Amino acid sequence: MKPIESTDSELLQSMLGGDREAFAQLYRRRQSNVYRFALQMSGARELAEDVTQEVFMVVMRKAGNYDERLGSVNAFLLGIARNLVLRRLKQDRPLLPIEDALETARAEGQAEELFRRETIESVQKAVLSLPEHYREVVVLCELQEMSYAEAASVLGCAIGTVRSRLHRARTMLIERLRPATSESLLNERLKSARCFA
Amino acid sequence: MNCQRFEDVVIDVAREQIMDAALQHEALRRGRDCAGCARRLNDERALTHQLKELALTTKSVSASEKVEAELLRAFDSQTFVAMQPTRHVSRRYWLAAIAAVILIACGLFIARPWQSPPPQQANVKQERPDADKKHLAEVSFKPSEKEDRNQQPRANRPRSITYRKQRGLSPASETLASNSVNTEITTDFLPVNYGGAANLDAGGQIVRVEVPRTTMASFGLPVNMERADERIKADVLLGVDGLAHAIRFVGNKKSLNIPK
Repeated sequence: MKPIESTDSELLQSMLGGDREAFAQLYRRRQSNVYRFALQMSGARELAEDVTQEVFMVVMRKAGNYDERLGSVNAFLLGIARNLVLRRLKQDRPLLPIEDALETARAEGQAEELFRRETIESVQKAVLSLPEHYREVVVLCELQEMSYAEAASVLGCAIGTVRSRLHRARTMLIERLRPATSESLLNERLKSARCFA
Repeated sequence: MNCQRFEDVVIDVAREQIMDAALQHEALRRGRDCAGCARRLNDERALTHQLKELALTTKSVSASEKVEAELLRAFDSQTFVAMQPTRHVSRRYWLAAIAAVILIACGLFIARPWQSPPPQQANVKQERPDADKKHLAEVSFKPSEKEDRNQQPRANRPRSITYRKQRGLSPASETLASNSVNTEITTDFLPVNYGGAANLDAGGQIVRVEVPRTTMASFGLPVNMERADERIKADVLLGVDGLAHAIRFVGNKKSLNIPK
């Protein structure tokens, strides 16, 4: 018989009472989300690790600030991560090693994977080139596969704002990923000739 | 559905979000009918696919074990980490509280002489209606002002304020008293010493005495030097401790040197 797993909130409560195992369990369950978010936002492993560590340090000290009514523990953690990432990005902006995240993939060096990896790399570059408030929506909704509501609770904004930002961000991504050929001119013409009937 | 409406829903269609089936069907049909919308839908679908690929690439990544080890070490010493800011806040809070109390105390001390009279005087003024009643009662038992106090029976002597309150005044004695009051005027009760005002709450006595007129001078009242050797009546307010707390001088306008 499978033992019933504690919820994130329960783990957080136990952690507040000094339960080391609860903290470890919560970390193992959620660190990947936090780390991925930081990595996808910054493109730098080192920064992502620092942020992950800082997020859980903050949780250790300020777990009492968590309010279940405002969102899930995951949203709480990602909210902290977001603030830390944005702060770090302001400080370290010119130092971002964009290719870090795909370093491992390159090392594999499989030929059939190469094209796919290059495509992914270009997508990642495009994502990283987005303004921060568009990037975070793409990371949360597309890469972390969160719902609009969850993303809204992480970002502390309305669902409509998330929707409109995502719409705009995706349009920007499509524009940036489109090869700069005459095809794009054709697309522009097509766009203007779109029928509004 | 037109292109503009299609634009509103194209992302949800491309991302295969849960949506109204009829709306989705309409959007897909629009994607087939309009070349521009079809291209838009294809672009969105391609982007969704690429983003999913990127998400898959990073799906398995996680922070190194070193991070977990450091966090657990930090958790073990959490009492130190957590307590330090709390202690800081607490110390700051107490310092601020003490400073605030000192400031308030200084403010009150400075403002006190300007805002209110000395506490004893205020208390005497509060007692005054009772004291006046008592005075009236005393007077009511006197056949005339000339009659000597020594001739009065002991029962008619001044008693405690509380006793007087219970007894009250009969209508007849009130008439006498009012006549008597018409002939007498008094000063306010003037404090004799400090610190005895609180005792008046437990009760007290007003005793009619005669004092030299020069006593008035010691309370800052004007004295007619031609009559300085005469005596003047005064009501002394005695506390339950037997000490005099306040005094008022009784006389007519002339004897108190009050201009008509």
